[in-house]
Amino acid sequence: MSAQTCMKAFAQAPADQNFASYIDQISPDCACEPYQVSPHCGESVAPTEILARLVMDPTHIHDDDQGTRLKSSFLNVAATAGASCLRYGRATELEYQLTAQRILAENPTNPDGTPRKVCGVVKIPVEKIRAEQIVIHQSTVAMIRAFCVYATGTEDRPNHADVVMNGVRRLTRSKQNRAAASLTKHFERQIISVQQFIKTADLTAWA
Amino acid sequence: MLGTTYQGTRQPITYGSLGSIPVAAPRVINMSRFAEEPRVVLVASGKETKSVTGFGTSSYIKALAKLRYLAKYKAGWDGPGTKAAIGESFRLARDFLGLLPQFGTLFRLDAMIYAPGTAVLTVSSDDVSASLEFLPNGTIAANVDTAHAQIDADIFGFNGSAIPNELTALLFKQQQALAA
Repeated sequence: MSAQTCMKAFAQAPADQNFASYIDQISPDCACEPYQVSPHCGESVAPTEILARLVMDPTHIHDDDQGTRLKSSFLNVAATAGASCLRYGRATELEYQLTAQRILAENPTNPDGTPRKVCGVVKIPVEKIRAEQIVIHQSTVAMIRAFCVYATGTEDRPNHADVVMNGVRRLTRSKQNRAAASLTKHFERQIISVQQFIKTADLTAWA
Repeated sequence: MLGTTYQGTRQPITYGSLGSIPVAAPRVINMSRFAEEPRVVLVASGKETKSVTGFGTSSYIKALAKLRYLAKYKAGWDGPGTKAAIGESFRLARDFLGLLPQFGTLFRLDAMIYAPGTAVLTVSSDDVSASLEFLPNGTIAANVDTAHAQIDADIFGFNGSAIPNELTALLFKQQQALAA
């Protein structure tokens, strides 16, 4: 695997629910992770980095007697289209705006007509994502890394990153769901309000 | 009007310094109309068995309402690449929900949608917690947690008429043991 091969392969990746399967095929066991995979971003995602993922209301949250928590659906998209994130401390305010606009673009309203909104942000340490493991078969102890993190910057969002499930073609659907739910569990109650996020995040550092 | 679950008391949209992106105000969903849990009489195998208080009817109604709501989600609901709700998946989830009462277990129920447009039910009691994704081909991707085990299983062939035996064993094992 080389940077050139990875960049070429990622350029041909389908932008739909087959993204994770395709990436699993061309970058097995996160092989392309250390390399540049996008012409818009020269640096791969370092283990010390933190990713920021937007939380949409009400799709991803659930209120219970202990407050608001994330549902296991929050990262399920990592097994299909890839879970879209921004690199905290690098992404600009404009990139956050564009990410939200992209999510809301196709469905600006909920089925009941109310406007869809961004209700918070979750910060996810890359180290945590890369440490997550999944048992491939119940009968064996064979474990693999559950997720890969790729620096999938685009022209207008150079600090975009994708969390993609590893080995998705080998995992049963229930195993995929288990992996996504397990990772979400680590920070299910760490939703930061947008107002708080704006106060604490440096959104100009890489502007 | 079961299809209008999210009629919560929402504050007006605020516009923070994230430009024109709507940002949600603190969220309160008013579900008080589902708060009462009536007494129900359960019937198993055509024979009245016992009366149970708080069978979880409100939980059942809320989950059903949420399934109906989520079934209206269009493609792209979670950004590019996410699929519209799949009608057959949601039908199977509703059918499954309809089969639960015969077991007479006190369950807390909730519904979700996953990125491929599939319906998901979460079913939990004091003994077991399960997440069940209904694939349109009749497979139930089940994640079941008990105090002693974590089980992941793809259970095939659910057509809405009966809960598969494998799942019955996982979900109702504790109750069956108590009843015996």
